[in-house]
Amino acid sequence: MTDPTVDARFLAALLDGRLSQDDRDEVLRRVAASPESFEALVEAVAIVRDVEGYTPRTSPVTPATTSPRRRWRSKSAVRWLSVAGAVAAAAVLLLIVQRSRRPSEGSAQRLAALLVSQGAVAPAGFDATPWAARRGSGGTLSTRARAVRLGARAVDLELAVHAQSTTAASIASAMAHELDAVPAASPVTTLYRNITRLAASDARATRVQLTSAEGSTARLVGTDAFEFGGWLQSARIAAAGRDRNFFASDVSGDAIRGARDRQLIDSTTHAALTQLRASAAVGDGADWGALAARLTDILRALAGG
Amino acid sequence: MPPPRLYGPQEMAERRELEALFLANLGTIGRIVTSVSRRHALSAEDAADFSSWVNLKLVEQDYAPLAKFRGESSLSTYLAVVIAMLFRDWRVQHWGRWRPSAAALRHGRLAVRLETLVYRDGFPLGQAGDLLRTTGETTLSDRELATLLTHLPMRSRRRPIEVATAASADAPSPIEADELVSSEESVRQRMAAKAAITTALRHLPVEESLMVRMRFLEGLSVADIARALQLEQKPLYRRLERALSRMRSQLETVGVSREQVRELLDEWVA
Repeated sequence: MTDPTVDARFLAALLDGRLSQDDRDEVLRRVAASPESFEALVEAVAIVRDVEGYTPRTSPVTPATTSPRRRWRSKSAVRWLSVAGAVAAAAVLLLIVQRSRRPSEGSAQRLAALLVSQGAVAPAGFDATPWAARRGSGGTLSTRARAVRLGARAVDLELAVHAQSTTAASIASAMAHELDAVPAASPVTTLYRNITRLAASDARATRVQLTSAEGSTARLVGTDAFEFGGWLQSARIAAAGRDRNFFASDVSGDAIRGARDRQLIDSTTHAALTQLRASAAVGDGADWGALAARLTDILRALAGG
Repeated sequence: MPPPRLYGPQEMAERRELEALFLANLGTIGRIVTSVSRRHALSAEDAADFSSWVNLKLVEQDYAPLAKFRGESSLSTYLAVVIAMLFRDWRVQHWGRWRPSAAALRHGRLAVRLETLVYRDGFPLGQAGDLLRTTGETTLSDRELATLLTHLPMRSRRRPIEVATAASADAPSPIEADELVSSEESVRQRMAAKAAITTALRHLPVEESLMVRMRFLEGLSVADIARALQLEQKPLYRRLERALSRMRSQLETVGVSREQVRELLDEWVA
């Protein structure tokens, strides 16, 4: 720590009570001498209180006996733990989103992250839609069907961007085209057109546009159907990759139950999906081809075929 | 545009892990950004701009801020610190070194907005009031807003403002000459007092100096200070009193009168 500004990692460790007494004293000395670090600490403690709603400590903190630098020497172990934590966080976030039914922020991103973190590889042609392309821009498509289509395409787009696939531009273009028929959608359409333009050349800018576009689209066309469309497309990809974990996860259980509760699917489809999920989660002896085909049928039917 | 970078298999795998980490934590990032935006009473436009800027900074240079994380704390705390630092950069880039005063933060969102409009953006109080009422941020009258403004420190304006020449030539000045002189004297006294306080703070031990700055200059609660400094909350009240007492003694030794000391510190504690 030769720089007078304290590194974010040390300030965070201080706030979480994970510094040794010596390291804590050194960090405080530097915070006192650096207006930038002092401001960051003051700001961060207010944010943490706001975001976590923590309970103030009533007993002295027991400081760590070794410095964080020494305790966390293994970079790969940390990476592994970070990713494992992220996967758990994604599952929890999805659970919360599914249950609270507030406007979704990044459901397709989280579904894609779930698939990617479990090693799923999108099969060739994953972005081929099971519905007739010409009806996408028609004004006769129901609102729900359009939301299901866009939710499915949002997952495709996430995976394409993640894989730096050239198909990202065409998927974004198709989504913009789909949104042309939705009133007041032009700001969102612009985001997708930006993605079409940027996807091949600027991954960072694409990611920023994508984050804004997905949340706006869900709010515009209807969160429930948008998210269920995303889950169906994710499930098709998981089935193609024989990904038991995807079907075993609470995310899948909640998605199927939620779709029934919100009357997106009837009781027969719900029963079929529940049975398919159970056989996929067990894995052994599952007919993955038949599962993918059945999921495709359901997606096609909900998307206005 | 720089040439596209080529990644090896190991680099690509790490990059994907970091991307997955970023995506999985979008919700946390969003909550932190919302908290910062609310605390600083950003307009909807500024809040959206800040949000996009944070996302951009987090993914820049192959997710460099996330790559630096080694697990010394929870990821959410680390992100809170990183985004707090990013807010400072964003603020300096957009507004110069402006930040809401601790007094405004203590008085709440309306005070921060009022201070920002009057001192940062250079709106006359009447126009600032009109703006706040039009946007539904308050129902207070100009007189009530003026009262609120008197609780906030006087600050120089960050941006030049256009003054309508006809209005400035004909309209009587709202401030009398005596008031102006008195006001300038008051500013001089306050600056001298501030310098004395800064000196007195330097004479305190590091921990107590931080405590006092956090409590009385930044308006943090004692619970927040306990968290920031990793101290037990209950004895903090007594330690703060002792620190103030030491500051009183120090201020008196540099020639600040007992009455002035009382006035200064009472103003803080109020």
